[in-house]
Amino acid sequence: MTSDNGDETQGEFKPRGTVAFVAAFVAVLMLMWFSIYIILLSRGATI
Amino acid sequence: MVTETTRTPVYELTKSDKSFIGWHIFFAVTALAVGSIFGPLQALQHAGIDLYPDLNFLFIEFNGVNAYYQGLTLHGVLNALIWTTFFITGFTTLVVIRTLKRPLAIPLLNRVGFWMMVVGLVVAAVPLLGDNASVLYTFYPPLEADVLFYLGLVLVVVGSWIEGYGFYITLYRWRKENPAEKTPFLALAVILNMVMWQIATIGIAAEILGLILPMTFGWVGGIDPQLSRTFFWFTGHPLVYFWLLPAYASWYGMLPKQAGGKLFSDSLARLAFWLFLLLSVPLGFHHQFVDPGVPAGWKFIHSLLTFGVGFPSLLTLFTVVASLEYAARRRGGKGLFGWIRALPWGDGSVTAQLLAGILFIFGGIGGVANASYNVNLVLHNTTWVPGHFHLTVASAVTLSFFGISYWLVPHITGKPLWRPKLAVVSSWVYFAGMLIFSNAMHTIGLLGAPRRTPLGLAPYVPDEWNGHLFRVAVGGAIMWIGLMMFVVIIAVTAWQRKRLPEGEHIDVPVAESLDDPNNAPAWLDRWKPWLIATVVLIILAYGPQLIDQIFGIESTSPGFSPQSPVPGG
Repeated sequence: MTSDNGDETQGEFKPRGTVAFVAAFVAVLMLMWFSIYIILLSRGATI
Repeated sequence: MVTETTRTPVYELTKSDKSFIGWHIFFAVTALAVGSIFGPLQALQHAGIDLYPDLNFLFIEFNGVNAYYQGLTLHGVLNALIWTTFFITGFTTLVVIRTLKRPLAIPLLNRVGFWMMVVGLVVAAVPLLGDNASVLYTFYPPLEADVLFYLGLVLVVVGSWIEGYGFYITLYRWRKENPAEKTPFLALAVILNMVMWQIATIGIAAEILGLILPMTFGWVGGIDPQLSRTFFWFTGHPLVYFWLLPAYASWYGMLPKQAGGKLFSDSLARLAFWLFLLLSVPLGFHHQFVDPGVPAGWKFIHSLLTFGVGFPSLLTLFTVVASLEYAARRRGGKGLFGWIRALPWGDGSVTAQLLAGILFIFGGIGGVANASYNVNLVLHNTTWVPGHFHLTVASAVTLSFFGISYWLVPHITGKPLWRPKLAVVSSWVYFAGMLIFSNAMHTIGLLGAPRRTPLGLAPYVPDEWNGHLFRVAVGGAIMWIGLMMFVVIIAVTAWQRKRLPEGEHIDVPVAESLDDPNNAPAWLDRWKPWLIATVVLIILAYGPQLIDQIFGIESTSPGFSPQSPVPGG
């Protein structure tokens, strides 16, 4: 279905690339957070 | 595109309004240009190259360690406080007038507010240039600056409040005139930001008026540093959102139009902004994780609330990227990630904002680490922190403001952007410099390098830091080149003789939404419930601790000047 001016409607547009982008963001975030967490652990529990 | 013109502007601002906005941009860009001179000097100093004495041909005398802190203060105040506040109030003026399609309700009020900000800037500049206020932009007591520094800051903040009152009255009048219409998203976004700013700055007002000025005037014998820091961070973290939300407004409501698409969801955009109002303030203790006077339980609550503000941040990531994907696919973009190439990278305004967004992805990741109660201990007071906020205020905000300026200045001057291709190059140069600089700052921070320290003079710098410190210097210098390109482009655009062809205009890019804004739930256009919820949450998150700290105040720390470690010296 398209709107009157021929554009896609919100319901028709599937932001698959966006979902992949956000998933990649979350993966990188977790990777970086845990890498710092490991530094924390390597310095001892009480830093 | 920045060079795209229209013959029929949706709403034409008056010459007086354009001039008023232009003055905001003039002071903003001037502050940026002057303050940024000290950026590469800091960075080069870290690598052992001290160029401060070379500035002594100026009327200011820069010497030794004092020069480093004076330069750092000028850099922070001019770039983080003045560039942003002047740009934001100017941008807000433009957005309010253009999207509500009406003049300011009481233009004199806004003008009084603006010129009060200018007077405040000049008043604060006197001690800053005289090395009598080298207390950094956080001005932590008991460090004590010349009283003019504080009075100048008060005038800047109160001036911005007064400009805010002008926007609220304008919105109130518009709602009276248009009772059946929903507030346009962009107007809602920028005015909501001013409201958040007014709530947030209550903290800094209490700090300066209630604690610092009585000490500076000698009415009390000292100050309570813990309470001062609590008041400061009541303002300090939402200050970051005050800088960011105008950039977000552009990413949500303007960039999709510039990229050839539409805003993915007007409702999601409104929801994100209301949540930023709700959650921006009650989380300041995550800046005070190592402060001994704040109980661990309250730090933990603020840590959780900081993760709460991650929700509207993720909403923003999703909605903005979806809007850009929509635009890119309309332009023929294909593939799971291949569509990114189809965005209009040849447009200086778009490119600056896209690169701002890319850098901010890393800023967001670093922010999550900062907010984590345990992980923060690895990063606290290291160069990681300035590395992080260069990805926020100096990237997401500043690069976005570059992008906005590339259409805004042609819009208000009626002159074409000078060298549009150089505008693209400027953003890439700045982006490259920031990548090198911020990566190095984060890395040596993890290795333990302290912040707020002239590392070039520190005898304890181990060999493993040296390569990274060199990258700090190189990155800082490259960033400055990109920034100067921006300053030159804007200055020449504004002062050139060439004008747009007769009858042509560069309009404000206002994106339509894929969903109908009139179908947005009514509660996304009502102020009262959100304001009540905001105040209640602040009282819950800060109230008990503030009562405890205020009633337990111990004004026993005498102030001392940065030049002398002797209290009262």
